[in-house]
Amino acid sequence: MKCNYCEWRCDLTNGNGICGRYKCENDKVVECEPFNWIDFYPYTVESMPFYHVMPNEYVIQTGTVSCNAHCSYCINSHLAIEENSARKLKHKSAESLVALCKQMDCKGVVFAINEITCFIPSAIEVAKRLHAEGLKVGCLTNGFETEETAHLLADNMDFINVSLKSLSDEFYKKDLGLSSVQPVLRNIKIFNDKTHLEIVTPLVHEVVENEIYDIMDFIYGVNPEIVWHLFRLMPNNERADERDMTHEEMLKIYETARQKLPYTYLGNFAGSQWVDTYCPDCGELIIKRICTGAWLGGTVFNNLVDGQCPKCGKKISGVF
Amino acid sequence: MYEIMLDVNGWQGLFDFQTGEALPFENKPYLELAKEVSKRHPYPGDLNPSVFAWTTDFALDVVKEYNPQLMLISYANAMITRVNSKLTTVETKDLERLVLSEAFRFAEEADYEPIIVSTGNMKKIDLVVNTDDIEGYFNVSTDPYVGGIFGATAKDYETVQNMNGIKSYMTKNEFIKTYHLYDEYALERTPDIILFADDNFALTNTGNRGTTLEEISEKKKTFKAFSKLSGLPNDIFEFRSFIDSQLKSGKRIAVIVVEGVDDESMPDGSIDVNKESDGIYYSEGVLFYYALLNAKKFNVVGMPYIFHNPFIKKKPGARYSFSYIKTDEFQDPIGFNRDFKTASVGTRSGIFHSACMCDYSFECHCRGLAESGVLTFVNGKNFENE
Repeated sequence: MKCNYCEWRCDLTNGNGICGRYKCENDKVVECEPFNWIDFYPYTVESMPFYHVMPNEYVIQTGTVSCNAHCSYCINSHLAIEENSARKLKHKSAESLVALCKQMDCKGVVFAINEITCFIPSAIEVAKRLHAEGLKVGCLTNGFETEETAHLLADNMDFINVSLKSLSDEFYKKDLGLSSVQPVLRNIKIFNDKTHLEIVTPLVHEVVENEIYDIMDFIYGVNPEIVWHLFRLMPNNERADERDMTHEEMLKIYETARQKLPYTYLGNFAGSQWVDTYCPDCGELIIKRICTGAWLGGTVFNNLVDGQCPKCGKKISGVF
Repeated sequence: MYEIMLDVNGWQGLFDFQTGEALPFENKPYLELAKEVSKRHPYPGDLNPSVFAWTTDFALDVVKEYNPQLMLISYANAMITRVNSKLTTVETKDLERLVLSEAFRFAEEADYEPIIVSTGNMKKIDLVVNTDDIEGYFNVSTDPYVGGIFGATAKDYETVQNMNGIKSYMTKNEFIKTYHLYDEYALERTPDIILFADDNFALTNTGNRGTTLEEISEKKKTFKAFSKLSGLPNDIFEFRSFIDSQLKSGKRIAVIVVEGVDDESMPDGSIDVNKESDGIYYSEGVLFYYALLNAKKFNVVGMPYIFHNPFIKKKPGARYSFSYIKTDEFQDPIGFNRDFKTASVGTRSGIFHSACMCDYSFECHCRGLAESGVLTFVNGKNFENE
């Protein structure tokens, strides 16, 4: 019996697959711990990050443990990679997660702590219940889903953020522990066609040196209005001793990218001044944001009128 | 004007302390010191062993450039490392020795009367209170032995009556009455039910992105303090007046906090200092620093509250976005608007500069081990006539 949620397509006959989160039961692939979450806490949607989604609204961030990748610089390696028997998940049914969401006056749920592919059935059930209550749902993913899972996510998520870390199969194999980038590129196109898509790229030295503008061109080819988050990398896990990228290096990429991709942002550090949205047509400052610490932040003001620039009326892509 | 300066990856930005709005640097000479010193000391990261030398070197640089009469230093990373890493006894002892050697290096190289204080013993987490049956939202306070349930259900009021590891509980009204809370800010952040854990049990949080704690503060009423100054007080709430009296006599004082150093590792001659008041242990975070430096108890109006209510959502861009400050009345922080020079350097991010508010308060800017370089609070009003 094979698991077809991600491109590893693990055989579950004698185990739980690479992520360890699925098992074979009555000739079906099921989660080992459905509706068991590591955490649920309200954050601004900008902190996920989603910059073109319900500015300054709070969502419940949740997730589980494990991952189907093994990134050398993973910032969540304590959850995604390391084994820890002391860690305990908390059970919360889809129904009670939705109830908590409403009780906390949050506008939805974002699956953002670890890779959503590790808990697809639970996530989809929660998404359906949220939609039934008029709430929104989104997720972060590394994009290594199978094509059928990509469609399933695109059909059920209101917004998706894909981490596109490189265009190189070699980099994906060596630094991320994934067999190829090709499924990710395919899925980005699926997500773009069916839902609101944002992309995040951590600024890793060799990616910046070799291919950052190729990544920019790929995104431009899919849709020039895709939101692109350039992420200041805080090297962790196996690359904890790596030197930081200089601000000049990061800013040069940001300035260049904005010529092609107007919704490019440079963040993941407190005080960033490169997180505001300007109208691509008339240059009007439409949304001003603040980064208060690493990934944390929100919107200071939002001048959108019905999702359009208040000055020239251009429609700004997103979930507003 | 009060300002916040950030230094990240070689970029420096200036912000209004209250609003968080970006400001131009203009040509303010007093900011040059902050810019130059921060540039020389990029933050190495919370768990990087070089962080202890970073703190000392930074503090010595501040003394060289500004020469304050009151110098405050916080070495928090032994505690941070012990909380986040599985350490052997030998590794813990090495860490404690490293912190103390750096504290004494500062004391030897700078001309101050040092007062070195620990925050008390830490211990490995053994038994954890099982909160699975709680239907509301459970959150731990700044004191790891006190937690609360927000949005408690009728069943929760029954559940807490027989919870293993819980010594006692109070309803919100009982807690308010016991601690004489009348600050609106605190009232709305007080949980529906407050739980007090048994001494050998720990409470752990929802809302920490799955991080597990390896160690917490031991529930002990005292911590250690060391100084050659006579008359060192034996209660945490008497330190502020003691420090002020020393400063008034013209002494140059350095208060050095070494978090994560157990009692038995503190220098010979250290004394026991009480840190308990009305059943609350002022062991860490805002509780400890506001008590030690400002003689403030948690129920004082203006204190950053010990509970965080997830149902209350502070909008980013609201006031004091970079700090643990809730009101414009700054509650007499030890380094604020004194008639002598004050400065601080520390790694208790967010809390330290909020509690000190020195002329220059330098610290790392970190949230949950994710760092954004160096943050500096500058009391620009002190320099307006320069």
